[in-house]
Amino acid sequence: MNSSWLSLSQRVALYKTEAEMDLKTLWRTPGFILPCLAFPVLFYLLFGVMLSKGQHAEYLLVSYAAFGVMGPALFNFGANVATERAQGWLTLKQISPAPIGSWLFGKTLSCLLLALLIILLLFVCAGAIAGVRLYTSQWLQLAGVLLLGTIPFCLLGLTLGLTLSSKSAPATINLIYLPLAFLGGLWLPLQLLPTALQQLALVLPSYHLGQLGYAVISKDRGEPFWVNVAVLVAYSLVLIWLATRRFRAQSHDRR
Amino acid sequence: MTEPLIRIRQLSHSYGHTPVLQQLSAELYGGEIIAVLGANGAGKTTLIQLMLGLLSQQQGEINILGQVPAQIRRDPQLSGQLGVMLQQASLPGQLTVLEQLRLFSAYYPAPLDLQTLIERFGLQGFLQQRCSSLSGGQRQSLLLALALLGQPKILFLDEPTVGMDVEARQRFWQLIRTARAEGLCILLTTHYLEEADALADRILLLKDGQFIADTSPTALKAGLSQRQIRCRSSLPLDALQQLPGVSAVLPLSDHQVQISSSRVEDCLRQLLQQDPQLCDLTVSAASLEQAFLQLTQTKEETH
Repeated sequence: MNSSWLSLSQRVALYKTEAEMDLKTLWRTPGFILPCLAFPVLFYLLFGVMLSKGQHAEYLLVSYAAFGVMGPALFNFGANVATERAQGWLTLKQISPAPIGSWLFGKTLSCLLLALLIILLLFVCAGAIAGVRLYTSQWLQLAGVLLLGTIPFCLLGLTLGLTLSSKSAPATINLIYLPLAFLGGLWLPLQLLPTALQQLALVLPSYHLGQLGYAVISKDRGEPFWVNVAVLVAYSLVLIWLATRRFRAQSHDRR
Repeated sequence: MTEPLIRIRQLSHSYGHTPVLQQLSAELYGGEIIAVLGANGAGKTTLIQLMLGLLSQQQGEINILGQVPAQIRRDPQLSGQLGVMLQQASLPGQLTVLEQLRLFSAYYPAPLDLQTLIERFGLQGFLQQRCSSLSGGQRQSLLLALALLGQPKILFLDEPTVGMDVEARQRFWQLIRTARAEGLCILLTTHYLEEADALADRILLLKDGQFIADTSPTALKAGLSQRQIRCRSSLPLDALQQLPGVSAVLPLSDHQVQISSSRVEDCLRQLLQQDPQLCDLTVSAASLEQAFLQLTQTKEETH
């Protein structure tokens, strides 16, 4: 990008405005926000607190938080980008002189804020209802790991959003989201799944996000943490490459 | 003469084996409205997409502001000088008109003053309205405002008034004329002949991927030999057919006929002589629509 186009303060203002507008868009779509917030909390209260009588409240807090943060990442990038593409809105942005980074920044920031809200809601449920007690450093670590771990899922969502049609996007993303969570061991502990599925989990980003979270409460399966990080970084790099290709191809597959 | 802002030379494009544009050439200058007129599927949108670098170029040359489109896409200094209204683009429905304007004005280092823009485009009545609740005319006005926000030199309008009512269209045309007065080069694609007639200084008539005319609307109509006579006549149809220069006789209702003739004065003289009962006579000058039909049909006959 040519840096002399906008001054530094203008660029800061642009990034702020993009983030503000994406947040407002999300906020004004209760049909999106409410399920994103409600499902992880309901699942946690049902399975983590009521049915297991609080025995696994700590473990399941991590599970449902990881499950929860994947949602806005996959859907805000996936389904919403597919819609913006279909409306011709994305093309208008591609033609405009604005750096496309500002658009990505806006979307990422609103995903992260929504993820943070999900994490905080679950923390409150865990602390106030399920009686989970962690050190301050553990709460902070858990929140940090989950937020950073959202990035590869944002990228996965972006790639899907740039690929799928706006009609098929929500359903297809659910078809990816739910199995990804289940097979990554976020709904049931992996030990309860058949061995073949346990093996499969090792290649899924959801598994590695989960493991990073479980490690904070010492309930992981014992891989060195850098393995989990490396897999997530590798996923991110491949997805950045794929998304860039899809983004460039955007203009060429239209009539 | 000043330098053209857009220069197209020998531009061809095909989708697979289907040629869409063939050997197009044209030069476009500031301060003029150029209408690319053609039926649906004539290749108008393809032409715009090539100019904007949204399609990769296959053959020929496009030069906009001294650069190829791909280069313009990479350089905000250049892409900031283009204003674009895409065909049937819709805006994210959750944002208000004012928010949309604020977002777009953040894209430019020296955007137009929002207050002035709002008044000029008559947006003040629905600034707080969500974009999803706008009428067709309101939405197109907003999209035009967004296109002009960065003070572009060239304005691309791809079928801008599709779905607008007559009144909204008239208002919209006035906004476009104002932009021309400010020296912009305005490239408009349309399949409304009326729109090209009302707005354009020049018409590029696109047919089968080629410009079959590059001229003013007046010249296009003047070049047209056919004119129409309508009247109520008691003469039989084959007698009318024998009149000078008649190419077609179309019976309407109740003894009314429409006669197309290339020698309308001679034709009238004889008609009045032969039929003393003749009444309800009108002679219509060629409309652009007839010019369009005539031009595109003669083209077809030569195939």
